[in-house]
Amino acid sequence: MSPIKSVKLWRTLFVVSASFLAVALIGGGIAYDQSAALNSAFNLKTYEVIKGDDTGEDTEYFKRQYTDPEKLKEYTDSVCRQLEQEGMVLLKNENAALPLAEGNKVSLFGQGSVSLNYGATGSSSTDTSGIANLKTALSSFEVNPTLWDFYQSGAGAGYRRGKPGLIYKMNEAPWSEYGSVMSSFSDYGDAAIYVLSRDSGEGMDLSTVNSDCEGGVYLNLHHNEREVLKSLTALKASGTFKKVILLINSPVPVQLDFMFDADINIDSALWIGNLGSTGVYAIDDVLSGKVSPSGKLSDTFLKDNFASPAAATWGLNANKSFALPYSNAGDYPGFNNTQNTYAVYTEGIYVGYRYFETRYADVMMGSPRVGTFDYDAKVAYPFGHGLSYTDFYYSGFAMEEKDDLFLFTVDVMNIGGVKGKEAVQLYLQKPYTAYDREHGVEKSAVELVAFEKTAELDTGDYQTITLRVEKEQLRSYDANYAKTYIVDEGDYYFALGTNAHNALNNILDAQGIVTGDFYVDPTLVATYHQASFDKETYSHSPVNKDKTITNRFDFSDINKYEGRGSNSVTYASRNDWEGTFPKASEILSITAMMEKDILSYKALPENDGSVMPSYGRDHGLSLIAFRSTEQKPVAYDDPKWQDLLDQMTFAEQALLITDGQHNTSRVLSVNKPATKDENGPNGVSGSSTKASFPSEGVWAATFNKDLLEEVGKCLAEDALAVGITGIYGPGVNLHRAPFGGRAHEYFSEDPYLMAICSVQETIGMQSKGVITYVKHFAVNDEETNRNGVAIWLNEQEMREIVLLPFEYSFRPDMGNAHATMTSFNRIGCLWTSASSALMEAVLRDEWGFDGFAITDMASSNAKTFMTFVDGIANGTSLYDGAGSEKALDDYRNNAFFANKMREACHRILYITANYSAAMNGISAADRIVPVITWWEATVIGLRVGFGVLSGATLALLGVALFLRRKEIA
Amino acid sequence: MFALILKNLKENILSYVFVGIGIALSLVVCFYYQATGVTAFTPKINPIIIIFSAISAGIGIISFCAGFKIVKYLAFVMGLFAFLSYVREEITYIANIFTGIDGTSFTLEFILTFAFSIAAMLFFLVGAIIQKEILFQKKPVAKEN
Repeated sequence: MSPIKSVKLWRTLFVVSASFLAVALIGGGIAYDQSAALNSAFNLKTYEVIKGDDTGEDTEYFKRQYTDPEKLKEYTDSVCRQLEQEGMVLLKNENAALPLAEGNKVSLFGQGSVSLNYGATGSSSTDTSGIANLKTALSSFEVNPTLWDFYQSGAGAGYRRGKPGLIYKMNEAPWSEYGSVMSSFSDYGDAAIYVLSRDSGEGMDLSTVNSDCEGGVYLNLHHNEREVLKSLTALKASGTFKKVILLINSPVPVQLDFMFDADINIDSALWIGNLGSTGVYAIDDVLSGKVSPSGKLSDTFLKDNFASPAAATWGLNANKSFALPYSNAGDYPGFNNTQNTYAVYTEGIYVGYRYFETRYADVMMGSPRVGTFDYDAKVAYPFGHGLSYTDFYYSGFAMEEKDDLFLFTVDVMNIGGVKGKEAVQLYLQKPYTAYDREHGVEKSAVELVAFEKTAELDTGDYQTITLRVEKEQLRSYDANYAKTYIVDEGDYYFALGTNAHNALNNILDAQGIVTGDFYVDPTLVATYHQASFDKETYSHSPVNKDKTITNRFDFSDINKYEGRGSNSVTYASRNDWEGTFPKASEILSITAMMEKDILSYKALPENDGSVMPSYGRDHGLSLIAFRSTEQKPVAYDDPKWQDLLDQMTFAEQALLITDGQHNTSRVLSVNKPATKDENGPNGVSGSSTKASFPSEGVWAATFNKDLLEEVGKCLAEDALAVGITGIYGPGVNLHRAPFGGRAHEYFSEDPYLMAICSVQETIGMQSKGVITYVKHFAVNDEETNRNGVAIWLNEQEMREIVLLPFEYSFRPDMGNAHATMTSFNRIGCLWTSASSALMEAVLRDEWGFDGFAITDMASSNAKTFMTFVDGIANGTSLYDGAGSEKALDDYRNNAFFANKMREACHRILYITANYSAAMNGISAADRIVPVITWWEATVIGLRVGFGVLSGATLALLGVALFLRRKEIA
Repeated sequence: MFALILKNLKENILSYVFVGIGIALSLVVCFYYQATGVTAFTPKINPIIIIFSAISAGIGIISFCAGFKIVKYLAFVMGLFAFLSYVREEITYIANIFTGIDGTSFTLEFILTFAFSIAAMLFFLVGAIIQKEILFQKKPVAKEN
């Protein structure tokens, strides 16, 4: 039979080709939907630069220092190693157990010894393959191979920590499993080194119930860890081991109560955090004494991780969870879990050491209603604590008042036996006055206000350290009466200290209060007297003097929110610790106004006087001409920008704003190249060097500003090597409680330390033309329930604790970061990106932020609560998701929204033109033209091919059917 | 004509059982997706999914009268289109689960819609494959004495 008559043949071909056509149409659609992600994942360029006439300009606006891949790798490796060397913290060193002698024979215990935490999951995940293990890195010592094999491939290999059923579990090997390897201990008995590891990751907080660790809490010791540590203590007593060393390989504070138990005897303990790609070598450097440890704790390490007000609230909630459903959530069946959960920040300003030190001070001063509080029973190691192999002596402490600042000087001398560095910490105590008590203004008994690190000092050498404190740092936010920043009348105490607790004791001693601290030194205290109460000086923006600073967040404080109904909460206050420390969950219910405020897709203003902007004009302007130089300044508000913006079409604007997943898209009409932006805070995703850095808490623990700036430069060099010009980091959310799942991306519990770290990193990174997206703006301090969870907090905590690191990062006179990433959560009922108070009144008007704001990953939430209309209307500029030219068509005729879109584009264009290395190589004579990527060509080819094939085979099937029917007839 | 349709039905009873199940499942997809398709990840119903499921069911019904295999194959192709459209609609939700960032897991509603739509399509396909094309059988020629 002739093939033309073969019904079967054409039918089969048609069905197959039609099926493939369906796949090509829908699959291609998915590809186009996710084009930003695809282009990012495959490192594809969507544009090409067509060179025009040579203008003679140097178009390398930002220069790379490391163009040789090998040199770049050496650079990133060395910076990572130095970070770990200077950031690991020697918590304890009894009888100078450390350093160990070169060639010592050591035994490594704990599953963490063979499965170290180098990084974490989520946006900070990096390629950790090929990183040296601990045995290899400990080249100064001989490591017990039998015990190593026990964990690697023997009976201990079956025990590994993980997250089965979304619960963090340790699954540590019991002592009974060690039977076969115990005989090896005596040959490697110079030291037993126990590695205590804990994981963390994006999307989930660390388990506080149902873990296999003690009490179901992941940060407690696992019963087998305790058993092994007790057994090692016994083996030390029997002489098998000379020393027991503990390495805490966790980005978050493990509960350290066990270190004070009588049946566990640890000689030395080092907190090492997550190690990054070369940090493991720093362990050898420090254990062997090649480097003397100089890190200082960036978080308070506790004997009871639920002891702070924030963590206590966590512990009191059902399932010890950070967030709760509203009590009447069942009455709102239309609300999903992005709308019906909330959390209350009951602690006010008393986060971390601010609580422990303040309540301790109140106990020492005999303040009324202080209640029962035993500092030593709660705190294992205070904020700022860290030992060295050498000793430093401080002398000649002096203060000089100079205009708007105080300058402090101190001579720091190395009086110990080995060379080392010292982190000098300066703390402040503001007066807690009758005004404060009456108006609910809270004051921490001590807070970090300045720090510097010495150079490496040889024995007998000294260095004069200068510390700078702005007078602005004396301010406190009074949300209840003055409704702005105030400076109380009274004495302000500045004190140096080896940690926050020691500094406080120095102050208390200077005040005549006997603390019993052996190391107090009243000569390290200076005072400043503020003669009168001041509510004017800091009531205006430091960068926009015409902008008043006043309450902006009454809507996020349930006690002030106008739709609160019968809801109210108690915030911790030093005026009444006993009555205000959390004793039960704060139960809130949805009111009628809250119901309205929680809903997304809020109505846009109509006919508000806005004039519809122009689109698609041809003024012949190119973005690079708007790059401001000393010779040719072009300010953000230069009218010429309007001509450039007029060139963009509505579709181009919609695409630029909505299609921001790890890029900002090309804009042909203004010759804007696409930029590539990537995760993340601990290392550049897709880096050619695979460089990753330790957890950010370790960075902060270095207390080394120059090093932090160098890390910023290093990340930038690593990014530029693969064409990336923006990094989603640093993360400056708070270590509010020990259980935050993403603490490895954030620096500290202390807002000032975090702020300075972010400023230094930003300065370093942006000096190379790589934009920092400081994140997550704001109040994203927890992970579980992060999508749409409502955070209720008072304005003093918001400004002094939560927002301070962002403020310092963005202010033009400080970090001058040019981009921010907003958060998934709400403040009060509003998604952060949809809050004009946060995004406009504070971020832009008060702080003078000149950059653009991208959302957190919007692909899954952009249609629910992270909507285009709510975000863009309130100051958000870019969506970290898959958008399109048609994504904003619904709002095409709204002049108010059209102007907001235009402003968002203006922000992105301004920053790209002026601060991004993506403009390198482009001159005013050049043009940007589109490039069809290989996947786009493939999709087009498949669609056309299978479309033609389907049509042809269908036609031929028709012919065959006709011929067959004719034949049969 | 009617006799031919009846004959086709009789000789392809198993094939039509499959097609019948396919039609029922397609209609279930239409109604079930309409009822449960709005989620935290998907705020709006995608009408394409309902339209193509309904077309698939409609073609399946037509196949009872039009006994060509190709008609059932067409029902399969429409079902495939509906299924793939559903996958496209839920792609961010699926990606969210596989990236494991938020601890989100597959809901029963998603699993059932996914299973029903893939099953409907496969029933049409099997129904089409096993059908005997009696419309093309030559009439038996009467023997002449």
